[in-house]
Amino acid sequence: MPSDLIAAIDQTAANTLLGAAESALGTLSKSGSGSLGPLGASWSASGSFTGGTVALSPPDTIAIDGLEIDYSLSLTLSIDLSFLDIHIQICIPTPFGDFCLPPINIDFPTISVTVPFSSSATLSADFGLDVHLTAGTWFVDAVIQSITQLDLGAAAVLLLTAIGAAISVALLAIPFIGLVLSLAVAFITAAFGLADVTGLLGPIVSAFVSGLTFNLYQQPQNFQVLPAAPPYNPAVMVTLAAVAAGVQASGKNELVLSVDI
Amino acid sequence: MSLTGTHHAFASIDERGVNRALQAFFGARPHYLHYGSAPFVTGNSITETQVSPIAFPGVAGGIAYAIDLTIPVVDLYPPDGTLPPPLVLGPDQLSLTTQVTITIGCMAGSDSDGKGRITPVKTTLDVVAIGHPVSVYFSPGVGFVRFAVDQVLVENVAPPSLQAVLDCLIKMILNAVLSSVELPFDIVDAGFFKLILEAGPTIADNQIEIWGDVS
Repeated sequence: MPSDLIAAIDQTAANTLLGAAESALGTLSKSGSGSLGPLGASWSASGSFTGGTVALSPPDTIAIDGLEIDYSLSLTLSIDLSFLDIHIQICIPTPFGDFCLPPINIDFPTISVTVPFSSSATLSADFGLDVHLTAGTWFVDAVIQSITQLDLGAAAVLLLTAIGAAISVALLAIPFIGLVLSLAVAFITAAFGLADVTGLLGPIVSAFVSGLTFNLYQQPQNFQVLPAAPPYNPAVMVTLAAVAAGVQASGKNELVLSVDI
Repeated sequence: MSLTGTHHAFASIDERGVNRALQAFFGARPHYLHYGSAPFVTGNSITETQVSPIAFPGVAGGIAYAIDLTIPVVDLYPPDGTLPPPLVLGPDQLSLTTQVTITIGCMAGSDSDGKGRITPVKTTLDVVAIGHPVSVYFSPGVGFVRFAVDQVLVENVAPPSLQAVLDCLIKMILNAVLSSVELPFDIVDAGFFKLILEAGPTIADNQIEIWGDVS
């Protein structure tokens, strides 16, 4: 039996709704930890989604191409500078034995270097439809199923440069580092390369993509047809008894919502 | 043939959906079905609407009356069955069936205070009407579909002149009642999108259909 209510949109309208779904999703926050070569790294990031082109593909796939992920990252590196520690004692031989100056001990600390960084990545992926009734509200969500392409762009190169600059600035603030500053920067930045940065950045961006869900439809099961208009007109409500969604092909591909009341 | 056709969005509500929406509307606001003057209806409420009695010289306080309708049942084209002649349901049309009970306060005699005694006298009429949907659009997502009655037949009434009087009376009443019944775009599209109405409403395949774009 056909559904009581049918609402359908084509790909053009689906693109309009995608923009609304992206705005509704807002800014996501993620955090985690990883490594950058031998260095420990922790990070927190916020990201949002814009753009993208929808292609509806029967039976139930929404392919989104060129979805932009704009993210801001705060990366904290933990750098143990003990390799720069200086322990010197000068002794001068005399007929009466060695005359030693007091030892010079300079211990360098473990420092934290925070690297702020913003960039964007481009995602192409296939999404499936998930219809569910949760806490009295019907939802139709587009949930990521598979990633066709995730392009980090030039972010890894830029982040590598940003990390080097941040380390240099951080080291300048350390007493007595001047003697070995260039040595320290060279040593630390040589400890990791572009591949390591990419290896760190990939999971960070993937954290936003994993389980990515755009809400396409959300209505209370107890659906308000008309609002109350006092004193003699209570709200008019109907029950959305069943909701289904799918991509159908009949002349052109359409996202179809079917509802029984 | 796609649902959206040359447009980008489509929405429809079928016959069962329309009738459930009408049941919800009149169930929540039954005063749109029950009208009467005192003493049948003594005030406005959610369940009843008070009207003035029919003024007539010599009838103290006027002629009391009440009109009660059952919730109309809608049949969208194509018809589920044969309509009583001469009614014919065509494309883009709907039929409504309802029962209308007309009650008058029959005043007889007078008591010691000079007031007449009112005895309710009523008749219940089976009514079939043909109508069509009308859309009212304000802005994206804001608008509604309502019904206009074109033709009414009160069954089993003679002579024909009385039938003509009743047909016209009931047509006026039905149009007045239905002018209050709105099916917002939200119930037709289930709140899926904010429709920019471009075409419709039409009636085909037992459903009311509208088309447009989304914002």
